[in-house]
Amino acid sequence: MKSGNKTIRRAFSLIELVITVVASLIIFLAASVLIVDSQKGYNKMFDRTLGEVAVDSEVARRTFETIVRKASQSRSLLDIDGQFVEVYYYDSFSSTKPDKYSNFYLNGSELMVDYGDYDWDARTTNVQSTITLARNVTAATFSVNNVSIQMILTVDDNGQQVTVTSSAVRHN
Amino acid sequence: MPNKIKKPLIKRFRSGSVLPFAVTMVILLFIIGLGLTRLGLGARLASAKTTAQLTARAAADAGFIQAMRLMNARLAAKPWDGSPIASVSDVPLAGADATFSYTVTDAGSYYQIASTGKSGSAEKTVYGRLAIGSLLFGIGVKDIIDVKVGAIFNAPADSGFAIRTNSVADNAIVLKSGVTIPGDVICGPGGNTDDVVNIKSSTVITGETYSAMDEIDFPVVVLPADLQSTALTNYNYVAGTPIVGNADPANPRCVKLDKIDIPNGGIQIIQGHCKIYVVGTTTLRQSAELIVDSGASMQMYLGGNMVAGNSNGLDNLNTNLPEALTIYGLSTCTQMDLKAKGDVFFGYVYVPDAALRVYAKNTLAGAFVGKSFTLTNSASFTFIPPTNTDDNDPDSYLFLRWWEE
Repeated sequence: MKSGNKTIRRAFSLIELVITVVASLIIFLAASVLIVDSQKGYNKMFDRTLGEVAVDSEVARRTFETIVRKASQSRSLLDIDGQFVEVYYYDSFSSTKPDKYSNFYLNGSELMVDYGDYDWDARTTNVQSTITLARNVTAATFSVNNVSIQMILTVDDNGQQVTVTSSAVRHN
Repeated sequence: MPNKIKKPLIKRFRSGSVLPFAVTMVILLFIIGLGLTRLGLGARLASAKTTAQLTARAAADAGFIQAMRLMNARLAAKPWDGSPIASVSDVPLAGADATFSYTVTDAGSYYQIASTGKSGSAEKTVYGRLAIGSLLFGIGVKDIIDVKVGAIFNAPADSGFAIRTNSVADNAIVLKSGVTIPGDVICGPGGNTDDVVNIKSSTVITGETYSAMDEIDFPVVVLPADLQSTALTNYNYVAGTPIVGNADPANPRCVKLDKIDIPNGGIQIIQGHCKIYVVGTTTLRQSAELIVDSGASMQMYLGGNMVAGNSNGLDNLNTNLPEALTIYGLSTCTQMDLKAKGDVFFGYVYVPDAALRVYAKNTLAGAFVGKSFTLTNSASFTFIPPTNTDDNDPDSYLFLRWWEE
């Protein structure tokens, strides 16, 4: 009876062990790939929707449109290569001429906007604050078409180039 | 028997790792999937919110434009009682899941438009202020402005002087060498100013050159009721006989003539205050003159063309008072030749369907509106803004300000 028990509880053969290890390894690797891919997809989607690039792009679009929509139709300053655009707007109802300005431009990889006072007659500006609207910007191109102004941003989103286009009509 | 009892125990011990592993995997993937779904939902909601905000803004803009158009239409349809247009609520925006509402309030010195667009939970309101204005802002036409070499323009500082056309055709505005424009040069909406405005190297524009957002609606001249009901008189020139109006400038005498035809060298003088409707052609033959006397005034309605011979003149002796000579062209007036014989022609000319050709060696002062405008060599033009814009019968709105919340 003793020797019978030993036969039932015998060890795995080498072949069985190898097959088991290989099968386990395959299953483990497949599962790992699945999990890693899922995690990568999650991270990518997170970046696209809530990441810095997405948030910066949205902030840049909103700021650009808000400023341009209240800007003067009669005057704007556009760089000949479209690298910056300057628009002018009224500070208040008591302003008889546009007395504020905003200048959108690319500084390195950052989209910046200058705010300040503007002398309509002398055409001089006095910058009072500068704000970074977006980072990781590889290109920013501006164009003026009649009363509308367009901004095309190319943003580096973890190696992928994402293009964000904004356009607004000047109303004043 | 003992062996039979132990066997299942040994099997249970040997089958343990696959199921927990699989369950762990499923749970991990489930958690990641749940996170991904939640993230997707968040992104979708954010996208829907942004879309709704943009749609609401577009609806607000559409409501604002409609209110502006209706205000202008009401102004053009005489008589105008000064009341704002009626408010509207929740008008569907075509092609979008959005509505707009607007109200126009009369604030005394201006009208305020508030237009609200709604799309889903998003809401956007834009505002604008309009004041009663004048179309006599300088030189305004529907088609072509042609300013010849050497013409000189003057305008008071901050007077809003502009040269403006509704056209977007190439060379619709031609400003020859030596011309200086002390104001803005504006072409029709969508026009490329580089093509529409033809300037030479020595042309100077001190203001801005740009395309307008909207065309100017030049209202058709409507003959006043008192002139319509006036009896027709046949015009016969009698040398030395003036047309005499009333003494009260607020109550000018109405005169309805079949034509005006001043012979060579003749002088027709207007005395007192007159409102004259010329049904047919107004002709000033060679060296003829039509003169508004000092202290007098004339509102002239042209039913036909105004034709001018050589060396004639249409003069207003009320210096610096262009209000004393206002000329309106009905839709049947398609050509007006204006010549000034005196040192300075003071007057306002509104002939929106006429080719207005100004021949002057001296100075013109006032403002002009025509279908087209040609200013010949060496003339100078001084813009005098209208000071007595009739609040009871304005011809346009002046757009003061736009803003949004």
